[in-house]
Amino acid sequence: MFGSLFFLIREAWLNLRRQGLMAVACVSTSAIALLILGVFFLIGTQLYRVVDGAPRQMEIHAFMREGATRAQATALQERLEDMPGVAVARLVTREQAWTEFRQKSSFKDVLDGFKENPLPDMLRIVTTTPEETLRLADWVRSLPEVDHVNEGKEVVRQLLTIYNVIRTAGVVLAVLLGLGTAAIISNAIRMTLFARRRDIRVMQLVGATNSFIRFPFLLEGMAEGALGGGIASGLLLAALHYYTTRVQPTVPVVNQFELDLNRLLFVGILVGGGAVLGMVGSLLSMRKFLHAT
Amino acid sequence: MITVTKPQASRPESAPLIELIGVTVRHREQNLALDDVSVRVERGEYVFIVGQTGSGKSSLLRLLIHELRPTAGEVWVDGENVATLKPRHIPQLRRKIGFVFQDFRLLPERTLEENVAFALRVIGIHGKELRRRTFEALERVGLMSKGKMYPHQVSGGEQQRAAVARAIVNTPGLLLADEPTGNLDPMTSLEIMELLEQINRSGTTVLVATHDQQIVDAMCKRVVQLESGRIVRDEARGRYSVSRLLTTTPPPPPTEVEPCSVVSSS
Repeated sequence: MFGSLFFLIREAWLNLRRQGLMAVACVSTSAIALLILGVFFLIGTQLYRVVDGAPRQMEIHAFMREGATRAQATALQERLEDMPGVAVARLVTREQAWTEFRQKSSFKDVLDGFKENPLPDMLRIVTTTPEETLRLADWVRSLPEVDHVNEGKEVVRQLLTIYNVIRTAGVVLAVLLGLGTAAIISNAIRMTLFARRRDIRVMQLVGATNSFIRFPFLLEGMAEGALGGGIASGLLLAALHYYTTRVQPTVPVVNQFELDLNRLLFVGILVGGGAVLGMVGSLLSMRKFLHAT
Repeated sequence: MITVTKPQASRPESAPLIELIGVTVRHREQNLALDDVSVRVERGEYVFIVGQTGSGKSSLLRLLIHELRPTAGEVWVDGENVATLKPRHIPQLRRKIGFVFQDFRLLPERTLEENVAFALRVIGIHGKELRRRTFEALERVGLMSKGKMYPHQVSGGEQQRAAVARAIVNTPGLLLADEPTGNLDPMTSLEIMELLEQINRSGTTVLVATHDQQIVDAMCKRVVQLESGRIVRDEARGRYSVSRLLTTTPPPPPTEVEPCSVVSSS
């Protein structure tokens, strides 16, 4: 069996070599298609991480009602500290907040016009899980001494919307590009089949089974797709490397987003995806060609 | 005209190797490649199928390897009705049949040896067995010294020998040859025909479609003559009968054809 397998693999290699330019076209188109797929995959996963991680980093800001005493605020703070699901609960007094605000603000003159400190006492609560954030926020909101609670719900919702749009666009684009890649590989395999029609005729006449005849062509398509995937992932990883070492440290806004990626899995997905596309392409072209005779 | 095909699964061992019963092949509405042909070929026979171009010789051979399906009738090969064969059983049928073409059909980018071995490789034979059988087949056709050469480096006769080696390397019980000498000079043609006869003597049934008059006359074998898709003559030891090529009048009575003087018994 291994002797035959070796023969079949060599046949596939010979096909690839004889096809030359066509194989190059196949590999580069599948590389481009998979590159775009990879970009969407990357943006998607990173955005998902942001969305997924956001509620965890979100704090609950609870502003005390006007007239609530410092004692009430301290009592609530102590109570929260003992509650499960709360990581940190800290009291920011209105004096601290005012000083901080005045220091940071560029409207110092305007703020100087205030005779009195308009800010209330505030509790800054950090929770352990996203579910706790929502639960605790609701609980704190129900307290009479609390005026207003801000748990960053809106930000999360907006991020989720963006993520969903990008994910849908990515999936649609991926399907379209995948079909295109399969069609291109299918066309290339058809040309190989045409170039090798004499060999195929001879194979059929001496009694080779259809699956035996197909195998090298299947392998050829898969190799072309996988190679395209390899090139695409190589380019993307190189771009990522450039981004993390050169761009990210120097641009202040993006350096907060930490890139986290299982590189091996990423390469595997692109190479495997390419191989599957190549296989589909090969099967498509062979269905028509081999049944004719 | 309706031919009723009786559904039959298998036939007894004693049945002829090939039997066509009322076979009609219609390419388009009017164009009949074969018209109600019935013929039997016993195991070990050597048969010439003669006739003009387009008389249906090639169609008859292609029926036997299921390259062509009959419009009506039964095509029995080695106990199987080829006409109703399922696609997945076609490879098994073809492994029992060797085929030789007028244009050799060797693969140009492979050596003669690789061409012969190719027929074994594609049916899953490899290693020592592959080398032994390739070697034997090349020896039988007298191409031992040219195995490493490419088709374009050898003569037409040698190419056809290699093609014959490829056809017999799987030791088939039936060898079909479609105009095997059509591209060869008379001397080389005779050599190829002698080679086919030699293969026939070792027990392989041989069917040769040809319009090479000299060869047919010289070998004095069974001759089946086709004309416009019908069998018009079937003689145990026949000649080519030149008149068939030149006229469309009915065949002359058998007495006009001089019987073969050489009677060879195999």
